[in-house]
Amino acid sequence: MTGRASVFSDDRVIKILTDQFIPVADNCSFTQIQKDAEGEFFRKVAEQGHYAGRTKPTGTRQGLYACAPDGELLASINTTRVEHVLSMLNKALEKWNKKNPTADVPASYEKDKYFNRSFPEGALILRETMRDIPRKDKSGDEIQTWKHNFDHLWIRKEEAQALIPDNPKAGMEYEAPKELVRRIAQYHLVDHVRGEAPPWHDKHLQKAGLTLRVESVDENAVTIRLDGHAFLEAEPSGQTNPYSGFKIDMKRGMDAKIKGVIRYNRKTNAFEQFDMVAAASRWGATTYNFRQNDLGPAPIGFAFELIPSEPRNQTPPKFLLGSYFRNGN
Amino acid sequence: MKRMIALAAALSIAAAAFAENLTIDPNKLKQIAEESSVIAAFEQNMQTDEQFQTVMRFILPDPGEAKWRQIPWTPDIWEGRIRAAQQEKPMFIWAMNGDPLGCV
Repeated sequence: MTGRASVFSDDRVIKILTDQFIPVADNCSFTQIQKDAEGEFFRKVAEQGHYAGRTKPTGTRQGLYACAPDGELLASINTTRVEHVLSMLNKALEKWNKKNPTADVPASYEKDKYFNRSFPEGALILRETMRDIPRKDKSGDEIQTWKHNFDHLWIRKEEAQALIPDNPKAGMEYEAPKELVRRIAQYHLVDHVRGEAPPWHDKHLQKAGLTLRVESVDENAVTIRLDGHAFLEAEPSGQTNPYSGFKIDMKRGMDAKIKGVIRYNRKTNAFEQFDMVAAASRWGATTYNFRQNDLGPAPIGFAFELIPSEPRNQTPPKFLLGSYFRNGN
Repeated sequence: MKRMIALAAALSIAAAAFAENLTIDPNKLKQIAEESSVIAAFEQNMQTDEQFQTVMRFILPDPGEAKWRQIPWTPDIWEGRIRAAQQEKPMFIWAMNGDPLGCV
Protein backbone atom coordinates (compact mmCIF):
# COMPACT_ATOMS: atom_id res chain seq x y z
CA MET A 1 0.00 0.00 0.00
CA THR A 2 1.84 3.01 -1.38
CA GLY A 3 0.77 5.66 1.14
CA ARG A 4 2.37 3.84 4.07
CA ALA A 5 5.81 4.10 2.47
CA SER A 6 5.55 7.31 0.47
CA VAL A 7 3.60 9.56 2.82
CA PHE A 8 3.33 8.17 6.34
CA SER A 9 6.97 7.10 6.63
CA ASP A 10 8.17 10.65 5.95
CA ASP A 11 9.67 12.22 9.09
CA ARG A 12 7.99 15.57 8.45
CA VAL A 13 4.56 13.98 8.10
CA ILE A 14 5.09 11.79 11.17
CA LYS A 15 6.03 14.86 13.26
CA ILE A 16 3.23 17.12 12.12
CA LEU A 17 0.55 14.45 12.53
CA THR A 18 1.88 13.37 15.92
CA ASP A 19 2.28 16.86 17.35
CA GLN A 20 -0.52 18.86 15.81
CA PHE A 21 -3.35 16.52 14.81
CA ILE A 22 -5.38 13.63 16.15
CA PRO A 23 -4.63 11.03 13.44
CA VAL A 24 -7.38 8.58 12.56
CA ALA A 25 -7.27 5.67 10.09
CA ASP A 26 -10.66 4.62 8.77
CA ASN A 27 -12.13 2.00 6.48
CA CYS A 28 -14.55 4.27 4.63
CA SER A 29 -16.15 1.35 2.77
CA PHE A 30 -18.27 1.11 5.91
CA THR A 31 -18.40 4.64 7.32
CA GLN A 32 -19.51 6.19 4.04
CA ILE A 33 -22.73 4.13 4.23
CA GLN A 34 -23.13 3.53 7.98
CA LYS A 35 -26.52 4.62 9.34
CA ASP A 36 -25.34 6.08 12.62
CA ALA A 37 -23.70 9.20 14.05
CA GLU A 38 -20.20 8.12 13.03
CA GLY A 39 -21.32 7.58 9.42
CA GLU A 40 -23.13 10.94 9.39
CA PHE A 41 -20.03 12.66 10.71
CA PHE A 42 -17.75 11.10 8.09
CA ARG A 43 -20.14 11.91 5.25
CA LYS A 44 -20.43 15.49 6.48
CA VAL A 45 -16.64 15.85 6.32
CA ALA A 46 -16.20 14.02 3.01
CA GLU A 47 -18.98 15.92 1.25
CA GLN A 48 -16.98 19.13 1.71
CA GLY A 49 -13.86 17.53 0.23
CA HIS A 50 -12.26 16.36 -2.99
CA TYR A 51 -14.90 13.76 -3.94
CA ALA A 52 -17.98 15.74 -2.93
CA GLY A 53 -21.05 14.38 -4.66
CA ARG A 54 -19.14 11.74 -6.54
CA THR A 55 -21.17 8.79 -7.81
CA LYS A 56 -19.12 7.65 -10.82
CA PRO A 57 -17.00 5.66 -11.52
CA THR A 58 -17.67 4.74 -7.88
CA GLY A 59 -19.07 6.44 -4.81
CA THR A 60 -15.81 6.15 -2.93
CA ARG A 61 -14.74 8.79 -0.43
CA GLN A 62 -11.14 7.60 -0.13
CA GLY A 63 -8.55 10.21 0.69
CA LEU A 64 -6.96 12.37 3.35
CA TYR A 65 -9.11 14.81 5.30
CA ALA A 66 -8.25 17.40 7.92
CA CYS A 67 -11.25 18.63 9.86
CA ALA A 68 -12.38 20.23 13.09
CA PRO A 69 -14.06 17.98 15.67
CA ASP A 70 -17.39 19.61 14.74
CA GLY A 71 -17.01 18.32 11.16
CA GLU A 72 -15.91 21.51 9.42
CA LEU A 73 -13.46 20.60 6.66
CA LEU A 74 -10.07 22.27 6.85
CA ALA A 75 -8.48 20.66 3.78
CA SER A 76 -8.54 17.41 1.82
CA ILE A 77 -6.67 15.59 -0.92
CA ASN A 78 -6.29 12.11 -2.39
CA THR A 79 -2.65 11.51 -3.28
CA THR A 80 0.43 9.48 -2.39
CA ARG A 81 2.79 12.42 -3.08
CA VAL A 82 4.29 13.55 0.19
CA GLU A 83 4.89 17.19 -0.76
CA HIS A 84 1.23 17.58 -1.70
CA VAL A 85 0.18 16.08 1.62
CA LEU A 86 2.48 18.41 3.56
CA SER A 87 1.03 21.37 1.71
CA MET A 88 -2.49 20.19 2.53
CA LEU A 89 -1.61 19.77 6.22
CA ASN A 90 -0.13 23.26 6.46
CA LYS A 91 -3.16 24.74 4.74
CA ALA A 92 -5.38 22.91 7.25
CA LEU A 93 -3.37 24.24 10.20
CA GLU A 94 -3.57 27.80 8.86
CA LYS A 95 -7.34 27.52 8.75
CA TRP A 96 -7.48 25.80 12.15
CA ASN A 97 -5.42 28.51 13.80
CA LYS A 98 -8.04 31.08 12.78
CA LYS A 99 -10.81 29.04 14.38
CA ASN A 100 -11.98 28.86 17.97
CA PRO A 101 -10.49 25.50 18.95
CA THR A 102 -13.08 24.68 21.61
CA ALA A 103 -15.71 22.14 20.67
CA ASP A 104 -18.24 20.08 22.57
CA VAL A 105 -16.97 16.60 23.36
CA PRO A 106 -19.28 14.32 21.37
CA ALA A 107 -21.56 11.97 23.27
CA SER A 108 -21.67 8.22 22.71
CA TYR A 109 -24.02 6.92 20.02
CA GLU A 110 -25.78 3.74 19.00
CA LYS A 111 -23.73 1.92 16.35
CA ASP A 112 -25.30 0.70 13.14
CA LYS A 113 -25.70 -2.98 14.05
CA TYR A 114 -25.01 -4.11 10.49
CA PHE A 115 -21.53 -2.64 10.61
CA ASN A 116 -20.72 -3.37 14.21
CA ARG A 117 -17.09 -4.49 14.26
CA SER A 118 -16.57 -4.26 18.02
CA PHE A 119 -13.63 -6.02 19.63
CA PRO A 120 -14.63 -9.09 21.72
CA GLU A 121 -13.83 -8.56 25.38
CA GLY A 122 -10.67 -10.34 26.50
CA ALA A 123 -9.71 -11.47 23.00
CA LEU A 124 -6.14 -11.81 21.73
CA ILE A 125 -4.85 -9.90 18.71
CA LEU A 126 -2.26 -11.46 16.44
CA ARG A 127 -0.92 -9.07 13.82
CA GLU A 128 -0.47 -10.88 10.52
CA THR A 129 2.10 -9.98 7.88
CA MET A 130 2.20 -11.70 4.49
CA ARG A 131 4.98 -11.63 1.92
CA ASP A 132 6.34 -13.60 -1.03
CA ILE A 133 9.30 -15.85 -0.28
CA PRO A 134 12.42 -15.79 -2.51
CA ARG A 135 12.90 -18.70 -4.89
CA LYS A 136 15.96 -20.52 -6.14
CA ASP A 137 15.33 -19.32 -9.70
CA LYS A 138 14.22 -15.78 -8.82
CA SER A 139 15.78 -13.32 -6.38
CA GLY A 140 13.83 -11.26 -3.88
CA ASP A 141 14.25 -8.23 -6.14
CA GLU A 142 12.71 -10.09 -9.08
CA ILE A 143 9.65 -11.16 -7.15
CA GLN A 144 9.47 -7.87 -5.27
CA THR A 145 9.65 -9.20 -1.74
CA TRP A 146 9.34 -5.66 -0.43
CA LYS A 147 5.63 -5.94 -1.20
CA HIS A 148 3.71 -7.10 1.83
CA ASN A 149 0.35 -6.70 3.50
CA PHE A 150 -1.18 -6.97 6.96
CA ASP A 151 -4.26 -8.25 8.69
CA HIS A 152 -5.29 -8.97 12.27
CA LEU A 153 -6.36 -12.32 13.69
CA TRP A 154 -8.79 -12.09 16.60
CA ILE A 155 -8.90 -15.04 18.99
CA ARG A 156 -11.80 -15.01 21.43
CA LYS A 157 -11.04 -15.29 25.13
CA GLU A 158 -12.51 -18.78 25.44
CA GLU A 159 -10.60 -19.98 22.37
CA ALA A 160 -7.35 -18.64 23.78
CA GLN A 161 -8.05 -20.37 27.10
CA ALA A 162 -8.61 -23.65 25.26
CA LEU A 163 -5.03 -23.46 23.97
CA ILE A 164 -3.63 -23.73 27.50
CA PRO A 165 -4.30 -26.98 29.40
CA ASP A 166 -5.44 -26.77 33.03
CA ASN A 167 -2.66 -29.08 34.22
CA PRO A 168 0.04 -28.90 31.58
CA LYS A 169 2.71 -31.56 31.47
CA ALA A 170 5.66 -31.71 29.12
CA GLY A 171 4.88 -33.87 26.09
CA MET A 172 1.12 -33.44 26.35
CA GLU A 173 -0.50 -33.16 22.89
CA TYR A 174 -3.94 -31.87 21.93
CA GLU A 175 -5.78 -30.17 19.08
CA ALA A 176 -6.62 -26.48 18.74
CA PRO A 177 -10.35 -25.63 18.59
CA LYS A 178 -11.63 -26.53 15.12
CA GLU A 179 -13.42 -23.22 14.76
CA LEU A 180 -10.18 -21.32 15.34
CA VAL A 181 -8.33 -23.48 12.80
CA ARG A 182 -11.12 -22.91 10.28
CA ARG A 183 -10.94 -19.15 10.80
CA ILE A 184 -7.17 -19.06 10.38
CA ALA A 185 -7.35 -21.14 7.19
CA GLN A 186 -10.32 -19.49 5.48
CA TYR A 187 -9.75 -15.87 6.46
CA HIS A 188 -6.02 -15.53 7.11
CA LEU A 189 -4.28 -17.80 4.60
CA VAL A 190 -5.44 -15.54 1.80
CA ASP A 191 -3.02 -14.02 -0.70
CA HIS A 192 -3.32 -10.23 -0.38
CA VAL A 193 0.40 -9.57 -0.95
CA ARG A 194 -0.12 -7.55 -4.14
CA GLY A 195 -3.84 -6.88 -4.01
CA GLU A 196 -6.99 -7.94 -2.28
CA ALA A 197 -8.52 -11.38 -2.61
CA PRO A 198 -11.78 -12.94 -1.36
CA PRO A 199 -11.82 -15.34 1.59
CA TRP A 200 -11.97 -19.10 1.22
CA HIS A 201 -15.40 -20.64 1.72
CA ASP A 202 -16.26 -23.83 3.62
CA LYS A 203 -16.27 -25.88 0.41
CA HIS A 204 -12.71 -24.76 -0.37
CA LEU A 205 -11.28 -26.02 2.91
CA GLN A 206 -10.23 -29.58 2.14
CA LYS A 207 -8.22 -30.23 5.28
CA ALA A 208 -6.77 -28.32 8.21
CA GLY A 209 -5.46 -29.08 11.66
CA LEU A 210 -3.34 -27.56 14.39
CA THR A 211 -1.70 -29.73 17.05
CA LEU A 212 -0.30 -28.25 20.24
CA ARG A 213 2.44 -29.94 22.25
CA VAL A 214 3.60 -28.80 25.68
CA GLU A 215 7.34 -28.37 25.37
CA SER A 216 8.18 -27.26 28.88
CA VAL A 217 6.38 -26.23 32.01
CA ASP A 218 7.34 -24.85 35.40
CA GLU A 219 5.55 -22.87 38.08
CA ASN A 220 5.97 -19.60 36.16
CA ALA A 221 5.30 -20.45 32.54
CA VAL A 222 4.33 -23.02 29.98
CA THR A 223 5.82 -23.18 26.50
CA ILE A 224 3.78 -24.82 23.77
CA ARG A 225 4.74 -25.68 20.19
CA LEU A 226 2.25 -25.56 17.33
CA ASP A 227 2.38 -27.78 14.29
CA GLY A 228 -0.32 -27.72 11.64
CA HIS A 229 -1.38 -27.68 8.05
CA ALA A 230 -4.13 -26.45 5.75
CA PHE A 231 -5.09 -27.20 2.17
CA LEU A 232 -7.57 -25.00 0.34
CA GLU A 233 -8.58 -24.95 -3.30
CA ALA A 234 -11.24 -23.10 -5.27
CA GLU A 235 -12.61 -23.58 -8.76
CA PRO A 236 -11.96 -20.80 -11.30
CA SER A 237 -14.27 -17.85 -10.71
CA GLY A 238 -14.55 -17.08 -14.45
CA GLN A 239 -14.40 -13.37 -13.62
CA THR A 240 -12.37 -10.90 -15.68
CA ASN A 241 -10.29 -8.03 -14.33
CA PRO A 242 -11.88 -4.92 -15.89
CA TYR A 243 -8.53 -3.14 -16.21
CA SER A 244 -6.15 -5.86 -17.44
CA GLY A 245 -8.70 -8.07 -19.17
CA PHE A 246 -7.20 -11.08 -17.39
CA LYS A 247 -9.72 -13.90 -16.97
CA ILE A 248 -9.65 -16.13 -13.90
CA ASP A 249 -9.88 -19.49 -15.64
CA MET A 250 -7.71 -21.68 -13.43
CA LYS A 251 -8.04 -23.07 -9.92
CA ARG A 252 -6.48 -21.18 -7.04
CA GLY A 253 -5.13 -22.87 -3.99
CA MET A 254 -3.03 -22.75 -0.85
CA ASP A 255 -1.10 -25.63 0.71
CA ALA A 256 0.34 -24.49 4.05
CA LYS A 257 2.51 -25.90 6.78
CA ILE A 258 2.07 -24.11 10.10
CA LYS A 259 4.55 -23.82 12.96
CA GLY A 260 4.42 -21.71 16.08
CA VAL A 261 5.26 -21.18 19.69
CA ILE A 262 3.19 -19.94 22.62
CA ARG A 263 4.56 -18.82 25.97
CA TYR A 264 1.96 -18.42 28.69
CA ASN A 265 2.63 -16.86 32.07
CA ARG A 266 0.97 -19.01 34.73
CA LYS A 267 1.38 -16.37 37.43
CA THR A 268 -0.37 -13.57 35.55
CA ASN A 269 -2.52 -15.82 33.37
CA ALA A 270 -1.39 -13.93 30.30
CA PHE A 271 0.00 -14.81 26.91
CA GLU A 272 3.53 -13.44 26.64
CA GLN A 273 4.36 -14.79 23.20
CA PHE A 274 2.29 -16.17 20.35
CA ASP A 275 4.37 -16.48 17.20
CA MET A 276 3.07 -18.46 14.26
CA VAL A 277 4.20 -18.88 10.64
CA ALA A 278 2.35 -20.47 7.76
CA ALA A 279 4.78 -21.42 4.99
CA ALA A 280 2.67 -22.09 1.95
CA SER A 281 2.61 -22.83 -1.72
CA ARG A 282 -0.02 -20.79 -3.56
CA TRP A 283 -1.33 -21.06 -7.09
CA GLY A 284 -3.84 -19.32 -9.32
CA ALA A 285 -5.16 -15.78 -9.08
CA THR A 286 -8.18 -13.72 -8.11
CA THR A 287 -9.74 -10.83 -9.96
CA TYR A 288 -7.84 -8.15 -8.06
CA ASN A 289 -4.74 -9.75 -6.52
CA PHE A 290 -2.43 -9.04 -9.46
CA ARG A 291 -1.05 -12.56 -9.87
CA GLN A 292 -1.76 -12.86 -13.59
CA ASN A 293 1.98 -12.92 -14.40
CA ASP A 294 2.96 -15.16 -11.50
CA LEU A 295 0.40 -17.92 -11.24
CA GLY A 296 2.63 -20.31 -9.32
CA PRO A 297 2.85 -22.66 -7.61
CA ALA A 298 5.07 -20.26 -5.68
CA PRO A 299 6.04 -19.81 -2.02
CA ILE A 300 4.28 -17.31 0.22
CA GLY A 301 4.64 -16.73 3.95
CA PHE A 302 2.21 -15.56 6.64
CA ALA A 303 3.66 -14.50 10.02
CA PHE A 304 1.54 -13.85 13.11
CA GLU A 305 2.75 -12.07 16.26
CA LEU A 306 0.96 -11.16 19.49
CA ILE A 307 0.31 -7.45 20.04
CA PRO A 308 -1.37 -5.78 23.03
CA SER A 309 -5.18 -5.87 22.92
CA GLU A 310 -5.45 -2.11 23.45
CA PRO A 311 -7.84 0.11 21.47
CA ARG A 312 -5.21 1.49 19.09
CA ASN A 313 -4.50 -2.09 17.93
CA GLN A 314 -8.13 -3.05 17.43
CA THR A 315 -8.27 -2.64 13.67
CA PRO A 316 -10.70 -5.42 12.74
CA PRO A 317 -9.79 -8.46 10.66
CA LYS A 318 -10.51 -7.89 6.98
CA PHE A 319 -13.28 -10.48 6.89
CA LEU A 320 -14.80 -9.82 10.31
CA LEU A 321 -18.28 -9.18 8.96
CA GLY A 322 -19.99 -12.35 7.77
CA SER A 323 -19.06 -15.69 9.28
CA TYR A 324 -15.68 -14.82 10.82
CA PHE A 325 -16.98 -15.83 14.24
CA ARG A 326 -19.34 -18.75 14.54
CA ASN A 327 -20.86 -20.16 17.69
CA GLY A 328 -19.30 -23.16 19.34
CA ASN A 329 -16.16 -25.04 18.55
CA MET B 1 22.94 -26.82 6.69
CA LYS B 2 21.21 -23.47 6.18
CA ARG B 3 24.42 -21.60 6.97
CA MET B 4 26.37 -23.79 4.56
CA ILE B 5 23.92 -23.04 1.74
CA ALA B 6 24.05 -19.31 2.50
CA LEU B 7 27.85 -19.37 2.65
CA ALA B 8 28.07 -21.31 -0.60
CA ALA B 9 25.77 -18.83 -2.33
CA ALA B 10 27.74 -15.84 -1.04
CA LEU B 11 31.06 -17.44 -2.01
CA SER B 12 29.81 -18.24 -5.48
CA ILE B 13 28.79 -14.61 -6.04
CA ALA B 14 32.12 -13.40 -4.65
CA ALA B 15 34.01 -15.80 -6.94
CA ALA B 16 32.02 -14.65 -9.97
CA ALA B 17 32.67 -11.02 -9.12
CA PHE B 18 36.38 -11.73 -8.64
CA ALA B 19 36.56 -13.54 -11.99
CA GLU B 20 34.97 -10.58 -13.72
CA ASN B 21 37.04 -8.08 -11.75
CA LEU B 22 33.90 -6.48 -10.33
CA THR B 23 33.40 -4.68 -7.05
CA ILE B 24 31.49 -6.78 -4.52
CA ASP B 25 28.53 -4.98 -3.02
CA PRO B 26 28.42 -6.15 0.63
CA ASN B 27 24.72 -5.37 0.89
CA LYS B 28 24.00 -7.55 -2.12
CA LEU B 29 26.00 -10.40 -0.59
CA LYS B 30 24.10 -10.02 2.66
CA GLN B 31 20.80 -10.07 0.80
CA ILE B 32 21.75 -13.21 -1.14
CA ALA B 33 22.88 -14.97 2.03
CA GLU B 34 19.65 -14.03 3.80
CA GLU B 35 17.48 -15.16 0.92
CA SER B 36 19.34 -18.47 0.68
CA SER B 37 18.74 -19.06 4.38
CA VAL B 38 15.04 -18.31 4.00
CA ILE B 39 14.69 -20.61 0.98
CA ALA B 40 16.41 -23.45 2.83
CA ALA B 41 14.33 -22.98 5.99
CA PHE B 42 11.15 -22.74 3.97
CA GLU B 43 11.84 -25.85 1.92
CA GLN B 44 12.62 -27.84 5.06
CA ASN B 45 9.29 -26.81 6.62
CA MET B 46 10.98 -24.85 9.43
CA GLN B 47 12.04 -28.03 11.22
CA THR B 48 14.23 -26.25 13.75
CA ASP B 49 13.49 -23.24 15.90
CA GLU B 50 16.27 -21.37 14.11
CA GLN B 51 14.62 -22.02 10.74
CA PHE B 52 11.26 -20.91 12.14
CA GLN B 53 12.82 -17.66 13.37
CA THR B 54 14.58 -17.12 10.02
CA VAL B 55 11.32 -17.30 8.07
CA MET B 56 9.41 -15.27 10.66
CA ARG B 57 12.00 -12.47 10.61
CA PHE B 58 11.98 -12.38 6.82
CA ILE B 59 8.21 -11.99 6.61
CA LEU B 60 7.81 -9.41 9.38
CA PRO B 61 8.34 -5.77 8.38
CA ASP B 62 11.74 -4.29 9.05
CA PRO B 63 11.88 -0.99 11.01
CA GLY B 64 11.81 1.07 7.81
CA GLU B 65 8.71 -0.71 6.56
CA ALA B 66 6.95 -0.20 9.88
CA LYS B 67 7.83 3.47 10.26
CA TRP B 68 4.28 4.62 9.49
CA ARG B 69 3.22 2.95 12.74
CA GLN B 70 5.12 5.62 14.69
CA ILE B 71 2.13 7.89 14.11
CA PRO B 72 -0.32 7.44 17.03
CA TRP B 73 -3.24 6.33 14.87
CA THR B 74 -6.63 5.56 16.28
CA PRO B 75 -8.73 3.15 14.22
CA ASP B 76 -12.02 4.74 15.36
CA ILE B 77 -13.37 8.05 13.97
CA TRP B 78 -15.60 8.73 16.97
CA GLU B 79 -12.78 8.12 19.43
CA GLY B 80 -10.62 10.46 17.36
CA ARG B 81 -13.33 13.08 17.43
CA ILE B 82 -13.57 12.86 21.22
CA ARG B 83 -9.81 13.22 21.60
CA ALA B 84 -9.70 16.12 19.18
CA ALA B 85 -12.35 17.99 21.17
CA GLN B 86 -10.64 17.23 24.49
CA GLN B 87 -7.18 18.22 23.28
CA GLU B 88 -8.38 21.13 21.11
CA LYS B 89 -6.62 19.78 18.04
CA PRO B 90 -7.84 19.21 14.47
CA MET B 91 -8.45 15.68 13.22
CA PHE B 92 -6.65 14.04 10.34
CA ILE B 93 -8.58 11.18 8.71
CA TRP B 94 -6.83 8.67 6.45
CA ALA B 95 -9.82 7.06 4.71
CA MET B 96 -9.52 4.07 2.43
CA ASN B 97 -11.69 1.31 1.01
CA GLY B 98 -10.11 -1.18 3.39
CA ASP B 99 -8.47 -0.71 6.76
CA PRO B 100 -5.39 1.52 6.35
CA LEU B 101 -3.82 -0.08 9.45
CA GLY B 102 -4.70 -3.58 8.31
CA CYS B 103 -5.44 -5.35 5.07
CA VAL B 104 -6.00 -2.98 2.18
